[in-house]
Amino acid sequence: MRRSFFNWQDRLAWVVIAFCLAVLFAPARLKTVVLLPAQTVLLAPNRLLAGLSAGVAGLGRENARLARLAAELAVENARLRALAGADVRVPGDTLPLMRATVIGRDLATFERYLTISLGRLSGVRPGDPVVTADGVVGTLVACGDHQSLVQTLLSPSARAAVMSLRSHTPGVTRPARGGLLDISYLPKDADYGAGDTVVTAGLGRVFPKGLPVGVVTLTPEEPAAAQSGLFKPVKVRPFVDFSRLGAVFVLRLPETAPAVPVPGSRSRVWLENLVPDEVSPPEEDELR
Amino acid sequence: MRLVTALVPLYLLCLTQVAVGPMFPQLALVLVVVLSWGQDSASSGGRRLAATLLGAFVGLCLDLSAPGSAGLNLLVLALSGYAAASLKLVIYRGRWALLLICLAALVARWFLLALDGSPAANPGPVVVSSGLTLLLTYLVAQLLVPSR
Repeated sequence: MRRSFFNWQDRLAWVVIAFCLAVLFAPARLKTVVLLPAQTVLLAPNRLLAGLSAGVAGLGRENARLARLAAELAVENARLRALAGADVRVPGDTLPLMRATVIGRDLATFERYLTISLGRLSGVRPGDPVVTADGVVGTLVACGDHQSLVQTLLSPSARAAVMSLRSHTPGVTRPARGGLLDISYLPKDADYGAGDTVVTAGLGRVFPKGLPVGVVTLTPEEPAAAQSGLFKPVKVRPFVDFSRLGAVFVLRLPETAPAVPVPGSRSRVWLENLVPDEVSPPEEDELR
Repeated sequence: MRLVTALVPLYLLCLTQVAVGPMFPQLALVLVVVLSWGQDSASSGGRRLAATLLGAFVGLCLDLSAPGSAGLNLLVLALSGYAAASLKLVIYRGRWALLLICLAALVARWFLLALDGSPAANPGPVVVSSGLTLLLTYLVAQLLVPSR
């Protein structure tokens, strides 16, 4: 037993251990100089991974910022396009957007209701519109402290006042089969054609005017009975893919539209959407 | 060849341990003890030398995160490997012996930390978690390596 601990291999092992002991008690400066090249080589994967993770985190933040910017620009662009042909003052300020993450869906269809990560404590309230950079998603129907329920346009009870961007013919959407929207109660001569862009009409105090909703599609499968009815059947394919939403934006609108518009304020923009073009809003002095 | 093969997962483990910092448990130490215990060599001296080199390599990798205070993990892990390979010759109830070696190595590490001027925090959680990790690691190792 004793002899087995004193062969050359054991001696070499003890030399290694003595070397370790020497390293432990060597001057720190010497250790730094000697081990720095080894550190550079052996810990290279760690530095690479740290750089990659920092890059990914930075990309995530940049992506969120750009998504928010895109949504703001899309909303503003849609409003400007909708208002371009009308004699309505273009609002000078944009509506505030709050980014929210989709944290839940209804398990039946994945499309009718969403749960988002903003609640009352973040300042959102039931009735607030929810949009993405692509277009309208729906409205908030219930708000907890930290999360809210969104009713999408595909929910059976969801309605939205819309109009054709080309002809400004108004209508009301309701969900149809196949992820499409119907525009109800359009007269037979309503000016809606395939490919028309449909935007919100700004009626009903829910959605601001001009938010993109979808595009009118051809409906060859429409039954002949419906074609011969009183109303014109129009189907709209929403711009938003409701089943793949990851993040949305809540539009914070003024709580109520005041009777007197305050020049330059957001409430004036809101009120302008409710008043027909040919009727000018009353002046403040008249109402006093 | 087995020694070289064992260096690869140990190196990856060291990279992980360096990345997360001195977190619980000391997986590198546990794995060095387990691999040293399972060293298969023609002679007992060769087994001890291989285990010592294994421990020294892992200790060097861990110490590279702070070259100025290098040597602590180097010494502890080299000694742990040597001790595990030596005790394998005289102890047959390996599971409990492994646990004891691991605990001794942990205590030695904390003792050297204190000597080095960096008083360790409460070592209890480290000792318990490393002991449990050792048992689990050893059980998995026994399943993977067929007994002779």
